Formats: sequence, structure tokens, C-alpha cells
Amino acid sequence: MMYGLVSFHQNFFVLVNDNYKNTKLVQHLFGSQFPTMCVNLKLYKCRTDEISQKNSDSYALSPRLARFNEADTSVHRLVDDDCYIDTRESFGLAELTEDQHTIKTNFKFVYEFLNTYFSRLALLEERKLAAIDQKIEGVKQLEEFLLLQTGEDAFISTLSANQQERIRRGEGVVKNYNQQLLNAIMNLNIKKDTTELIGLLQFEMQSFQPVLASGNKRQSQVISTLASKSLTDTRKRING
Amino acid sequence: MASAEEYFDRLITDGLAESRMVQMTSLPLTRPIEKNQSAMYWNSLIRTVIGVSDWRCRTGTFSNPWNSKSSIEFAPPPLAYTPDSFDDIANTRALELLHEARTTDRQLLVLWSGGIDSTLVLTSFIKNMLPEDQERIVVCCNFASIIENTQFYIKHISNKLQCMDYQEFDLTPNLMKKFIVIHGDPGDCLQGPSVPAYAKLMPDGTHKKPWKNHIAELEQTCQMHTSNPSYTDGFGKWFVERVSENLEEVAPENVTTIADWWWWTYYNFKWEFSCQRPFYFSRQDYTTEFTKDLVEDYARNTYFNTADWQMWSYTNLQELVGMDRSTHKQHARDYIFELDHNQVYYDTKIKTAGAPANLEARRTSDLPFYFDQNWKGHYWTDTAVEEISIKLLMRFI
Repeated sequence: MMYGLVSFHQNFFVLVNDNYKNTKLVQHLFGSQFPTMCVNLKLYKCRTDEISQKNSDSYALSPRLARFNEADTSVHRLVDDDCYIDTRESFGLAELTEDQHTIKTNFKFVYEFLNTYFSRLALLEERKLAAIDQKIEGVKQLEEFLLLQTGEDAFISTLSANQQERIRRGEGVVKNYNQQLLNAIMNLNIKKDTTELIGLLQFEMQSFQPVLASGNKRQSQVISTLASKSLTDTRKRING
Repeated sequence: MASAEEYFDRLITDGLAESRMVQMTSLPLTRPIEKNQSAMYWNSLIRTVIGVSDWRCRTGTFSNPWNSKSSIEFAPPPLAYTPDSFDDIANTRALELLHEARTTDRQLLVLWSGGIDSTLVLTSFIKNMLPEDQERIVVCCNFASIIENTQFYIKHISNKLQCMDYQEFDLTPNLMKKFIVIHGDPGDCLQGPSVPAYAKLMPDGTHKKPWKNHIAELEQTCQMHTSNPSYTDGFGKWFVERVSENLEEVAPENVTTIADWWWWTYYNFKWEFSCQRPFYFSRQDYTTEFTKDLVEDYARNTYFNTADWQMWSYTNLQELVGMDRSTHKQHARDYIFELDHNQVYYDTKIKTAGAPANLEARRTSDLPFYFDQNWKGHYWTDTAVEEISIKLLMRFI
């Protein structure tokens, strides 16, 4: 499942993803001929084309890309193709080749996908808030049930209060990591410096790693389904 | 004078060799280790063997990349047969620890998950305490524990014993001065561990057959399916060979069946870590250090870390695991039932992952890569740790 397109420069994609197999699937959607650096949340990096991992790292750190990043500062959201063209032209780069036009089309597809994906995430967020209320209600009911059995029990009341507080803080239940992820993608996209960009990527990958632990499998599945539905919808819209 | 490189090499190599624990979670390796097949197998251990966080042998030989040794505090007793009964050992152990609490003027902090092992531990204290001991026992639990064994909480804990929210439990030297920390690990080992690993062999009773005659079946129990992303070709063979070599070297005569072979994987390799789990999972600050005295005190007072318990388990190996899972932990069930008369729990309690695990804390905390003799954590990102660990991993044979 793809988490997001972090940036797109020249003919270069950076994807944040969660596993190798799914990365390959997403790359297949783009067209495997495009150089793509995929960074997944378990710190793997993979490439699909003939450019080696070493080259990929060099490219990401190249002065050319750094300069392009500097030009790419007016965007405070995911870069769309208009912006791509503007910045490219203002930077005095050559006209797009036919291949690059193809990439542009693919990029539009990805952009559409992300819009759909994030609007679905917002819906999921609403549901999660409702789930928190439900969870608190569940704790209250459990407390009530136990107090009926034990009579007055200060420890049960303390446990209940602590648990409710933790749920409100988003601890002990699934964390609001979709929002974190969205913020990360947005933040990464407006960064000027590639070193900082890579640093941030690493930071974000480390901070996401724990939520991908087995306990959150179900949450991962929900997100995965969401992404897959978004892809289908986008495909229909683009084609139709 | 040593160069900086030599200095860190020595520091980290020695640190790993003298460590209390080296975690085996998937490391964020930036260099491929595919060139060394043994390193690949070592990396696969955590994904294929149940509940492995650290792996080192208490007796015999089993090399590891870090050259880390077992600590004397957790050395196994000479494996001999004992006539003592399960109940007698549980009662004696509870009396010993109550006495220790009185003489050191500390409370017994019992980590209670509601599962069989920790309920057995708590039951032994309740059965053997004097009225004045009631104040000495503090039950550390959470809602998950109470849901797991509600009737036990209602009948024997609520308004009778002091309680602490598990979320507030933080293992520190100061805490150990006030409390003797008691938990139910490695109760699993003593009463027949790793059943899921060989469950497929149970229907026709193969798990009760001599392991030496069923090497191929043993290898199957530890080899992941090829469709699993963590599949490593040849791991099953490598693992079975290594464990079996160790077993033949130590040659405990009562370890004969496939089920016993799996018992040995826990008893000899996972025991030490299992006893010390709270040092790894229940601390908010991994930079705190524990003195040798505190570590010894902890080991001495670890409920199951006694020669009596270990010899009982060894003596009764043939009856720990039956032809199916229905008699799993029968002795502990009987012991608990004598106190709580809870027929439902007695008949239906099944093996589940232990609560009260502070899963959220585990997920969000940045766990150290290894812990030194004083249980101070050292991180993968500390200077040169990654480089030197990978070097050791690449040299592992």
C-alpha cells in the first residue's frame, strides 16, 4: 500500500511506503521504466529501473536536485503538475521530452489518487473520534459492571479514570498516525534542502515504525483497503 | 595509545560480550548481510521461534554473533530428579518470598495478568500468607488483567489487597528498594512451552516420539513457509542442528521427545531473558543503572528461578504435554482451583498473549539494542554500535 508521494523532481519519484512488495505494485502503476526511489517505513530502499541504489542516493543528494528543490518553494501542498511546469520553466530547464510528458500524466494520476486517498482518510478520522467515544463508554460500562460485583472499589474507579484519560490522549488505542503521516508528507514537500529532507524522512520512518508493529495490523489493513479503494476510484475517474 | 576506531571496537565488542541482553528485533541494517548465511539465520531466529528477544545458552555451546554469555545468577541447577510435588514447591516458594519481604521490610509487587502463571503465583501467596502479611502484597494489574480473570479479582483481590495500575509500574533501583518484583515468567517453560510450534504433530502423537528419530519433522516445525516474507532457505535445518548439537553435548537423559526438544529451546536459551523481562519492557528510562546487588537480589527473588522449580519441570517432562492441549498447565490449574473453585476458568482458560503488557509503551519507546551488566541500555544509533555489530554479524559462523 502506498502511503504517499513525497516529492517529484525531474523524472524522479520518492515514495513513502510500508513494504517492498506493495512498493513494486505501486511502481508498476507508474510504469516501471521511471526511476523511482522508494523509501518504506521499515527503512528499505528499493529501485525499479537500471539505476543502482548508489546512484539513487547520489541523485537524491545532487546539487541539481538541491537547486530544483530551492525553486520548488512556493508550494505548500502536494506538488501538482502545473507547479511542476512553472518551477521547471522558471528554473530554465529544457522542454519536456515525450517520456517526461508520459511521466506527467502518471503524476496527475498519482495526484488524483492522493486527493481521493486523503479525503477518505479524513472520513476515517471522523470514525476514529466516534470510536474513542465508544471506547470510553465501554470503560464506563466495565467499571459499572465490576462495581456491581465488588461494591465500592477505589482501585477500579482509579483504573477507569486513568484508562479514560489515556483514551482521550490517544494512548492505549490506535494513535492518530494518519494525521502525522499527512503532516509529514506536507512538510517534506516544502523543504528546501535535500539533506534536511532525507533527515526528515529518516525521522518520520523511525517514528512510524512502532505503529506498524503487529498490534496495529488491523489498522494497517484498514488503511490498505482505503488505499486500494482510492486507487480504483481514481482509475475510474481518470479513464472515464 | 589506541585509535578512536580501536577504542570503540573494544568498547562495543566487550560490551556485547558482557551484555545482559542483546535484542533480536529486526535491525535497521543499512548494509546487506546476505553474504553471510549464518548471519541471515541469526536474523531469522526472532521471526521463526516464538517469543525470542534474546538468545544465549545457559549450558553447553551455542555460539552467537556477540559472544555473549549467560549470567551466573541464572545458571541452571544440575539436572536431577526430584520427588517434590508442584504444590509443595509453590507453597515453599511463597513462604520463602514472604519471609524475604518481612526481613528486608519490602512489599511484594506481584505483576498479575490474570493468566495461569501469574494467577498461580498470586494464589500461592494468598494461600500461605498470615493475616499480617496482607499489607505486604501489592497486585500490579490493569483492566486487561481483570477482564482475563474477573472472578479471581472479585473474590480475592478487590478490597482485600492493595493494587497498583500497571501503567504506573516503572522498574527502577528505587522501586526495588521498596518492592520485591514478582512475575509469572518463565512459568510457560516449566509447564510445557512452545506447543504452537509443534501443534501440527500432535494429532498423531508424533510430538511424543523420540526427537532423534524425527529430525525432518523437527526441521519442519521451525521452517517458515516459502510464501512468508521472512522465509530464509535452510533455516530449519541450521536451527535444529545447532540446538541438537547443544543438547547432545549436555545430554540431559530425560529430554527425549520432540516436545522435550522444544522445552530445551526455552529452558536453555530463553530462560534468562524471560526471567528478566521487566528490565526490558517495563522501564521508562533505559539510562538508569542497577547495581550488581540489585540484579542478584532480583534474580534470587524471581519466583520461578529456583533449582526446585527447574528440577520439578525436568522430572515431570513426560507429563507436561499430553496428546492434546486439554491438560496444558494442569498442575497450576489444580492449584488455583483449590483456592478459587472457579470451574469456568479451570475448564476453559486457554493460552493467550500475556496481559498486562504495556503495548503502547513498547511500540512508542525507542528500545536499546543491548543492555550492559548494569542493565543500562545502549542504542543502535550510539557511536559505532551499528558498524561494529554488523562487523560481528558478518563474522558469525
